[in-house]
Amino acid sequence: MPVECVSVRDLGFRFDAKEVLKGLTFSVEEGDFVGVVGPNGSGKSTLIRLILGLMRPTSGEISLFGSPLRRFDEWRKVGYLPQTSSAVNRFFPATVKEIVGLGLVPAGRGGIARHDEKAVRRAMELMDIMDIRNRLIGELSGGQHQRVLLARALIREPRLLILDEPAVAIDSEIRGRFFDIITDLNRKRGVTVLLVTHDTSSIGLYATKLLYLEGSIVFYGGFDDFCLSREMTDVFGTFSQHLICHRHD
Amino acid sequence: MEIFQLFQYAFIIRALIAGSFVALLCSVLGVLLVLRRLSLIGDGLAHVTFGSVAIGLLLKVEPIYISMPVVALSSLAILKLTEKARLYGDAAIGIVSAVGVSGGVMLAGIGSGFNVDLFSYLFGNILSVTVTEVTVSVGLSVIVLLVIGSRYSQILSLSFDEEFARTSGINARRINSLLAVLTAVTVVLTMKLVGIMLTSALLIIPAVTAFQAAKSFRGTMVAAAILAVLSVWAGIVISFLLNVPTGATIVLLNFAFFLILYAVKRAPAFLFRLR
Repeated sequence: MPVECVSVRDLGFRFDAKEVLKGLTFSVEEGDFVGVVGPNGSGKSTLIRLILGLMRPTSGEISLFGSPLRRFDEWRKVGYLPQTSSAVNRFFPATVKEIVGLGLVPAGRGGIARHDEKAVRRAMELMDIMDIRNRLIGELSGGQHQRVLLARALIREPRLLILDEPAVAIDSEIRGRFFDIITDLNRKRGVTVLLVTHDTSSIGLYATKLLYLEGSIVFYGGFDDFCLSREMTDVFGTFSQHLICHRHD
Repeated sequence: MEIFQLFQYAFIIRALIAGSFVALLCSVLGVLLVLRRLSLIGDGLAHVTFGSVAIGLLLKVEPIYISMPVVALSSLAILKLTEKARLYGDAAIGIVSAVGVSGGVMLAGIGSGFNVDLFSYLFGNILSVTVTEVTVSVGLSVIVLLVIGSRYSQILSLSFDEEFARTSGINARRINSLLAVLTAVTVVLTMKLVGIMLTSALLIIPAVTAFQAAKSFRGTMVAAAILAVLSVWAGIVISFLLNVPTGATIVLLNFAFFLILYAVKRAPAFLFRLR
C-alpha cells in the first residue's frame, strides 16, 4: 500500500477577513509528482506554507508521513526550495559550500557545524556546482543560486521535496536542466515532489498529477483524467485544457 | 613614554583584557545582527540601558544589576512587538528606545545629584574598569560566546533563511529569543567600554568592515573579531598617549578600518575606470 506523504483534510485558511483556502481535502502518495497550479492569488503558496508548518490553518488537518503536522518532527524527510524572491539574503557572506551544508543542520542540536563532507560533496556534484563551491552566494547567477538552494534541500536525501515557483528568474535553457534534475529524482529515486508553478504550459512534461486551485480544489488527479474530462473542458475551455495537456504523453 | 611602558600599569591591563573580550563578543554578535537587519537594536537597547542606569543610581544599586534584566526584557519586548503587533523591526526598536530614554531623563530630573554619574555612562570609561568589572565582563563574554557556539549552526541557518530553517525543524522563536537576551547582555557589557552613545557602533562597524573582505562566513566572523579587538587595543593605547576619550577613539579607529577596506576593495574598479 503506497505511503501517504501528505494528507490534507478539510483545510481552510483565512487571512484577516479574506478566505484564502476552503475545504481542501487531498493526499499525495509516495512517488507522486504533483504540479500545483492556479491563477495568481489562488492560494498555491499559502497551501505550501501550511503544509510546511510555516503558517497555521484556520481549520482542518494536515499530516506528513502519517503524523499530524503539529507533532511531526522528522523534518529530515522533507526538503524545501523556496521562491528565489523570498526571504533569502542574496548578499549573505557565505560560500556555496557553507550554504549547502546548512541543509544538514538538525533541529534540537546546534553545535559547531559537523558538516558531513561527503554529503556536501555529493549534493554539490548532483547539482553540478562543484566548480563554484568557494564562491560567495551573492556572486551567482539566478540559475546557479537556485541550484545551490536545491542542493541544500536535497542534501538530507528527503523523501518529500516541496518547491515553490522554483523556475522564477532563471532562463529557459537552465530551467529545462533544472526540471530534468527534479524529474530524475522523482522517476529514478522515488522522491515525492510537490511543485507550485504558474507555468501551466510545461507542467505536463514533468508532473504525473495535477492539483488545480482557485481557493478550493478545482481538480486533483492524474493528467490523463484531466485531459479526458469533459467537466474540465467546461471549466477551462478547450484551448486552456489543451495548453495544459498537450505536452503530457 | 614608550608604548611598552604602558603595560606596566594595572589599569591598562584591566582595560585591555575587558575590552578584548567585549570586543570579541560585539563582533560575533554584530555580524549576526547586521545580517538579520537588526543593526540598530544595539542603539535601541543602549537607550534602554540609559533608563535602567538611572533607576540603579536612584535606588543606589550598582547599575549593572538593574540594567541586565531590564535590557533583556526590553529586547524580548522588541521581538514580541515585531511578531505580535506586526511592526517592522526598526519601528519596534524606536518605540522601546524612546521609552528607555524618556524613562532615564524623567528619573534624572527626579533624582537630583546623580546627573554627573549618569553622564559618565553615556560615553564610558574603560580605563577606570575595576577588577570586579573585568571578572564580570570576561565571565559573561565567555558564557555568551559559548552559548552562541553551541547554537552556531542553527543561528547561521536562521540568519540566512529563516523559512528554510523552520522547515528543518529549528525552533526559530526560541533561537530568536535567545539572541535577543544575548544582545541585551552584550549591550550592557559594552556600556563601560564605549558608553551608551557608542555601543551600536561597536556592534555594527566591525561587522560591515569584515563584509568588505568576506570570502566565507567563517572568515567574516574571524575578520570582524580581529578588527574589533585590534581597534580596542589601538584605541586604548592611542587614547592614553594623546589624552583623548577612549570610547570615541575606539569607534573612530573602527571607522578608519572600514574606510581602508572599503577603498582597497573598490580600488581595482576605480583604477580601471581611470585608464
